[in-house]
Amino acid sequence: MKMPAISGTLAKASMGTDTERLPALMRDGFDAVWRLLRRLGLPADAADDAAQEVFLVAARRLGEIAPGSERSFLYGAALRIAQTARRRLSRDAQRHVQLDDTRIAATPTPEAALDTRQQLEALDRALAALEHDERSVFVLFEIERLTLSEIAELLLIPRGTAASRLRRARSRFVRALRTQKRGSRG
Amino acid sequence: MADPKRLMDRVGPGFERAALLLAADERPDPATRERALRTVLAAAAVGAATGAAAAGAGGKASTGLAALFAKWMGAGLLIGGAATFAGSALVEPAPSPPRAESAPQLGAARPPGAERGAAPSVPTQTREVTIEGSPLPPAASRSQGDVRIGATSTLVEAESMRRIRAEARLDRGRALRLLDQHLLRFPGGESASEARALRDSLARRK
Repeated sequence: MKMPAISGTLAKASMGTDTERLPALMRDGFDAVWRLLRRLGLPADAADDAAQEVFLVAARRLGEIAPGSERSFLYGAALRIAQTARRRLSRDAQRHVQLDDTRIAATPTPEAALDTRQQLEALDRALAALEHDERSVFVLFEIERLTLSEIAELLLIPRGTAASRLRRARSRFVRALRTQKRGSRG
Repeated sequence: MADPKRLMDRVGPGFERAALLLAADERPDPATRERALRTVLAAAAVGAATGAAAAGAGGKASTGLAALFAKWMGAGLLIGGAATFAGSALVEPAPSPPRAESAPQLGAARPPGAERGAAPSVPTQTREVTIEGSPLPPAASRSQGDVRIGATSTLVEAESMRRIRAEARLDRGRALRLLDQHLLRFPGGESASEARALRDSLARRK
């Protein structure tokens, strides 16, 4: 599967030995995998763990990953691991205390950081309003910028199904986000 | 068939667009990425060494393959080092720290979250595992003493940090006390910056 914008490092790693390939795969794909895990509903610390797990799986199965399909493999593993992690988290939810959960790049002022955090929290609440299947399609399309055909191939569903999930997800997402915005104003 | 236009590509202001752009820009801590990289590379090195050892035991090792030889050497170093470390821990239990022996084993990459209630995963690498180049330096470049001291110190620090992360979810006050102790004990350690950041974050919470 052709995936979007893999860097030169990863493209080169596709052709290199396993010793070169794994670090390149991690350097190039770690942020995207971590971000996907976050938007699939994992808190930052759980996303750290889950991203590491994704790459441990990749390390074990490196020989099976065809050159050029690295990102597809990583996203597939991330989707499965996120599902397991979310189930585990929901069981443990009562024992967790929410710490500062956003990882924000340096912002000019504390106000800007707070604003960013609030927007990300609002986004995550809106994403939480989606069904799991819709959420995966939405995040892969809207944030990770995969095409519908790529998503369909990744999730083993027809393209039309991916498109209809995206339509439903968009509608719910926008509604949820706007409801929150109205609520915060009122 | 053309895909619909993405929400974040639509022109003009919009709360959805702004939030999605921020989400697309969120990144993990560089330290997290590097820690994961080292852990995964350590696990991969152990896996490769074990595989090579198994192949050698089966009599299939090809003497002409330098790579295989390197893996053999890696296996020998790892097994020897681990045996030395484990042996010393069993025969001469160190008086302190008390939990040093229960720290993660070299290369035993626990699947993150395997014990969710305990804590987030902690890298199990030692200082000998490097990001760039060969994960295992030549035997001549290190002594057994280096292996034991370096590995123990790193593992104790990692174990301490793991415990603190777990405590941070459960008991803020205790976590703050542990963080102070940790920073006194490992002021220049690998986890010092993480410890300071976590301390600040906890201290700000009411």
